[in-house]
Amino acid sequence: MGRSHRETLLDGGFSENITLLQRHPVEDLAMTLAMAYTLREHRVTTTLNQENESSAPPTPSTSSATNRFKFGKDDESPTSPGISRVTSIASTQSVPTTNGVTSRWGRNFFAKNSSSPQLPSIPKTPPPPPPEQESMEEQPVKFSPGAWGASLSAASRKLNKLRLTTTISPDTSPSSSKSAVHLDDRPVATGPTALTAIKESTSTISARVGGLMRDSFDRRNEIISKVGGWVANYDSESGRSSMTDWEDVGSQGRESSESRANEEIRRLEGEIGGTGKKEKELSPEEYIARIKRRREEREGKSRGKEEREGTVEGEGGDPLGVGGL
Amino acid sequence: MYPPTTLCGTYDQVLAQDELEENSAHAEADAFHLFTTLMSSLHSIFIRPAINPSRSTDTPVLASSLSHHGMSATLDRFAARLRARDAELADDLDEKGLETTFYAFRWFTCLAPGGLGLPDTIRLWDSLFADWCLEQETNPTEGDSGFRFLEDFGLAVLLYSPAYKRANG
Repeated sequence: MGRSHRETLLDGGFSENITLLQRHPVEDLAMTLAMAYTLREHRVTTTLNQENESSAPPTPSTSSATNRFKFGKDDESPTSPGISRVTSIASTQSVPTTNGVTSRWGRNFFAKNSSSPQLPSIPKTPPPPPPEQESMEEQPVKFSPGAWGASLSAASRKLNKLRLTTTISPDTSPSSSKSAVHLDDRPVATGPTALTAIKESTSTISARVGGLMRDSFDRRNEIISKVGGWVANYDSESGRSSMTDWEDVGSQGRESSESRANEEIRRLEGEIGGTGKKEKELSPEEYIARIKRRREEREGKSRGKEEREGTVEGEGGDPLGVGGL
Repeated sequence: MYPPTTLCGTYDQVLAQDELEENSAHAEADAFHLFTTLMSSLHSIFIRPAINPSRSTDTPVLASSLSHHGMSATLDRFAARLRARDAELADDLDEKGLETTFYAFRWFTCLAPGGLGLPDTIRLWDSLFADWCLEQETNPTEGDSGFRFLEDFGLAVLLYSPAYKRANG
C-alpha cells in the first residue's frame, strides 16, 4: 500500500502541502468516504454521550447507569480518570469470587448465558399438571352460538351425571368427567344405579304430585257440597265433578277416559235429541200456546208469591203496629 | 473557481441530466432555486462579521461573543478535531505555517475539495446532504452550523486518504 496523505504532509514543505491539499486532495473517494463515515459515527456517539452525561448529574448512584447507556467506544473522549477507575473497580468487584454469595448490585446477570456449562437441576416439587382440555373447552375464547351451545350441553350433561351418580365424587375422578354423556348413552356398568335412582325419584315425585292432586280435589268436593249445584260440571247422578274424570285418567288409562267421554256425549245427544223431537212435532200455534201457558203459570206463581209475602208483612212486617202512620 | 459558481454549476449539471425533457429544460431555474435555498440555509457561513472576528479587529474579543456558527467557528472546530485525532500532524502543520484557512476554507465554502471531479462531487454531496438533513432532524439547533460531514471528510483526507501519485513522485 502506498503512502497516505499524513506521511506526505509530514515529509513535505509548505508549498508541497498547499499544492497537495488544494489541487489533489483525494485519490480514492470510496476509501475516503468510508473513513469519513467512521469518523462521523465516532462524532455522533461522542455527542450523544456528552448529552447523556449532561442530562444526568454525576452522582455515585447514577454514574454507573450513565456509563451503562454509553454509546460507542471510550477511546478518544477524555473523561475524568477517577470516575472511570471507580466504575472499572466496581465492575470487577461485582463478579463473585469465593462463596458465590453476591450482593444485590453485584450479581452477574449474564453468568447463565456465559460459556460455563450448567447442569440441569431437578426441581424439588413436581411441576404443576397441565391444564385439562376440558376446562379449555368449557371456556371458549371467542363467543359463538355453536360453541356456547356445545359447552352448555356438556355442562348440563355433567350436572346430570353429578346429580345421578351419588356414589362417585367428581373430585376423586376428574378425568371421568370427560365421559359425561347423555343418560341414554351412559355405559351399562353404571346403568342399574342410575336407573334405580331415576325410578326412586320418579316414584317419589309422582306420589307427591298425586297426593297434592287428591288433596286439591277433596277440597274442591267439599266446596261443591257446601255451595250446591252451582258448579256447571257437577254430575248429579255420579256425584262427582267432571274434573274427577281427569283424575282417573292415570289409573284407568286413556281408553277408559275416551269410552267415558263417548258415553257422556251419547247421553247429552240423547237428551238434546229427545227435546228436539218434541219441538219438531209441535206446530207454531201449539208452540205459541205453550209459551203463553208457561207465561201465565209464571205470572200466577209470582202473584201467589206476592200475596204470601203481603200476608207475612201484614202479620209480622209491622210488629209495633205503626205501619199505618 | 468562485464558490457560488461551483455550487450552481454542480446543481445545473445534475438537473440538466434529467431524463424528462420537461425537467431538463428548466434546469437553470431549478438550479437557481436550489442555490437560493442553500444560501439561505448557510448564510451564517458567508456573513463577514462571523468570519474570524478576532483577527479582523485589533481589539480583543471575548470568547463568549464569538460566533459559533460562522466560518471561523467551523475552521476552529475542524482544527480542534484534527489536533485531538493526530496531535503530531497538527503541530507539524502549525510549525510550517499551514493554517486550516489555506486549504479547508475552500472545502467548506464550495462543499467539496478542489480538484475533485464532478462525479465524485455528486457522490460526496449525496452523503453530505443526507447527513445534513439528519442533523437538522435530530438536532435543529445544530443544523445551522453547516455541513458537519465535511469536517469528517476533511479529517479523512488528511489522515487516511492515499497520497496523490504525482505528489509522491
